[in-house]
Amino acid sequence: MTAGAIRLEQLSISHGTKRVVHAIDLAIQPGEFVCLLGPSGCGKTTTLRAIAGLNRVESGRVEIDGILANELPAHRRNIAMVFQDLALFPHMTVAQNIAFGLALRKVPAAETRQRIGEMLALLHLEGLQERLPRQLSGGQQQRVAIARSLVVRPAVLLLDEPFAALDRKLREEMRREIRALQRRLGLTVVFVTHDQEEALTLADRVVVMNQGVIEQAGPPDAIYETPASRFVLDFVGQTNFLAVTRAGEGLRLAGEPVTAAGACLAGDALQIALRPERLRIAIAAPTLANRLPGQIDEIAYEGALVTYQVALQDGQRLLLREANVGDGERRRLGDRVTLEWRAEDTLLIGEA
Amino acid sequence: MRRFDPIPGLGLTPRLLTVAACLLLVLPHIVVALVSVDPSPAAHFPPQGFSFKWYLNAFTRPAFREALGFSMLVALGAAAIALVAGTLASWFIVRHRFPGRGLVVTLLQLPMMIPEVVLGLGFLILFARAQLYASVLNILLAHAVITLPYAVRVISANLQTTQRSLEEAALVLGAGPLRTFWKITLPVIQPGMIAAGVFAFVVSFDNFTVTAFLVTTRGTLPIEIYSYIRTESDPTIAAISTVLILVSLTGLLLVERLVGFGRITQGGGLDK
Amino acid sequence: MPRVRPVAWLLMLPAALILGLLGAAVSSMVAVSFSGAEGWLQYYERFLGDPTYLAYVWRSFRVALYATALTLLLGYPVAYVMTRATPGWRRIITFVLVLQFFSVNVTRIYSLILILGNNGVINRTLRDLDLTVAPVRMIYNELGVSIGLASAALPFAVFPIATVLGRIPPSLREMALTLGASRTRIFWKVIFPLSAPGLLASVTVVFLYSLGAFATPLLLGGGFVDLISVFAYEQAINLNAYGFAAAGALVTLALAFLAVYAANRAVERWVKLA
Repeated sequence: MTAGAIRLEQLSISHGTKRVVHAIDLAIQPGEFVCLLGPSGCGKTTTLRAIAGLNRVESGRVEIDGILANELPAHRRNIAMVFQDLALFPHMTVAQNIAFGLALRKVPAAETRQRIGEMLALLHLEGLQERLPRQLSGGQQQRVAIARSLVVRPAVLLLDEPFAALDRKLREEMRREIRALQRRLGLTVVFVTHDQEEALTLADRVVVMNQGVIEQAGPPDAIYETPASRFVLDFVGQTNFLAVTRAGEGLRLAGEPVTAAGACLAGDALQIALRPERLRIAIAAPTLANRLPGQIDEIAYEGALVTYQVALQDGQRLLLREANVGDGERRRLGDRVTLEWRAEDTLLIGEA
Repeated sequence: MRRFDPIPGLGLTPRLLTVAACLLLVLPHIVVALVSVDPSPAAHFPPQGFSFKWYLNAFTRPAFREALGFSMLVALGAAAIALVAGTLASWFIVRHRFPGRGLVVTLLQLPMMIPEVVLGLGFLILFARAQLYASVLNILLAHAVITLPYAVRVISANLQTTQRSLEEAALVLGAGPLRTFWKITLPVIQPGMIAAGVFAFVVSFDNFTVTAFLVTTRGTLPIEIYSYIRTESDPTIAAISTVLILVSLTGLLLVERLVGFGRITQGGGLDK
Repeated sequence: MPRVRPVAWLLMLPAALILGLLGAAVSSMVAVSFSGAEGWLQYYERFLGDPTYLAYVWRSFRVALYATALTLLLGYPVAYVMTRATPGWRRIITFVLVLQFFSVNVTRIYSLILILGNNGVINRTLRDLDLTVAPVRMIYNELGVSIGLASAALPFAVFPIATVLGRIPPSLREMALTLGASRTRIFWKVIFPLSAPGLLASVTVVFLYSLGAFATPLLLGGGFVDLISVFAYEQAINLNAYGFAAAGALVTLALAFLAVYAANRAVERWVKLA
């Protein structure tokens, strides 16, 4: 199982005169599940379409399994794509939709029938083959789109925000399913999304893009724990950014000294960054390196979690998130509390 | 190596046929404009001289002047009627759901679906049986019928693209339905109404078949042009054609400035 | 949607009056056609029993079919090109089409005579180049009338098709492309079947328009291509035979609606099969 390697080298793409992808490099291993994550307009879909052969490459290389694919037509790239709007042919039945790619490959009738049957079973679509797309539920339509792409046995499956239109529960179900399919078939998957939760739960490797460049590529925990830039830190997960001042060797936040032992990132102003779930409200004597008094001025009860907004003495506000374990006392608006957190969880953002 | 285009564009055949279609539509106007300045009555192309005498002839013939006035009168009247009826009807069918709505929509489009000769003959017989012999009024009424579907089409398409929430917001704020229609809906669809009015005017002004069955002594401009072509062969009609196409061109550019073609050409506005 | 209050139906009043006029016209025509002195079917028997009269119907259908075919042969590609062209080109094509709609039909027919006539631009050029001796007859026959009708009907044909084509998501093309379909195959298997509703709307409008045309056969037919409109006009205006004219026109209308209905059913079935 070695098919399905993708290599992008100094890839640049323009739409008209506007350059949307700037000389990016990315190597994807066979069988890897990669998510391209970023805000809309960051170039993630354009990159995906370049891999699919639907966008003209301006400069650089797209390699698939070691072969230069810049000029290769889409269907000779050993890829299949699932579009955001699914692109099911509305005038064809489920079976006809799935058979479309097989007919083009001159697969004999008997084998076509057999492979359609396999796909229907694999994606739990038995009994629906004679339906038209509009007669299916949203989740079934998703499955048909995936089946139509997989039936031609591609090495690479490209998905462009395929689950964006589904409700939360169905979306989670489809995520589990696509992940299981990918493992079972040994597919390389490139999945475009703007949903960070989706990217973190699905991917072997998350590629965070912004304004046409790759900000960071790495396993989900690395993206979250050790972000490579202020953008990644801000875009993935929630983060408190707090202005601090330098006092000799040390830093001061709201008049109190703080120590930062986490990563150091470039930014416009001197700040520290703290994840809400790494903050604690000290119950007895504080034990962690950093501590600060504050007052609760908003409470968001989320069920499993409770998020507090805490005003510091200098007026800055930050968010703090606790698991709702049920044994502590419930805090109220206006409570004066002491926050504490570890030096390692304190990231420093320095002036460029 | 031949550069492979990963995104196949248009084929050659559709491009060629499009060029052919555009030539079929544009070339006649150019030929006519050139012929209109040829001094010889034999309608030479390319022209073998330059003269405005056919323009002079067209403008000084009372028949054409009267016919133009007649056509303007009928077209303005028909367009006004179609616009009022079309706006109210469009608002009704776009903003309301009721049993039989599909039938109403179809009925409003019906005059477009009946061959013009049937309409012309029908009106001739109707007016004869009703003993109505006022040619102007008869033609005006018949034109109101044939222009109505165009007005409904353009205005409905327009209404459908404007957000219903605008009207709802006004209603929630306490404006009555009439006030809402007057203060919110009408201003919003005003460009569409301009387009619809122009459309109805053009349809009426251009009409030949229905009119031919109803004219008595005075004819509209197309009828007069037709009679002239039947009897004379000099380029007077070329001169008139050129003037008309220049007027159309100006009007078209004006409409394009005011409302854009999008509003005219969107025909799919009426879902049943 | 709000409940329809009875007073809201008043909005329909002006349109209803106009449509009532149409209803009155058609029904008085039907009434007159059945009012023969020698029996209520007299006019129909006379019309249907005489091949010279039926010839008007067949000629009308034939010419309307030619005109429809020609219009769509040109109109479909125009619509297709419009939906794929750059905005600039799309504006130019739209402008040309709308200008066609905005120009007066009779003058357009006149210009076609100037170009296609026996003494027209094309024939004179051919003669000057010594390519022909006798003029090539391009008008005063069914071809000429069809060309005239097609040039008038093109805008009607293009816009319904362009609307439907514009609604087909580009991802369908791209999906077919990634699966390996050629341009031709994508067109015939995906785009064309999905455009069938627009195509049908165009065919209907152009066919019914051509069937009822009057000025075009008169001027470009030169007496050789008299359609049903010429029959109706001669009978009604010149011979005052309203009932007979009405019978002939109604027979044509009935056959036309039958043809349109059959075409609708055929396309429906075909799209389902495709």
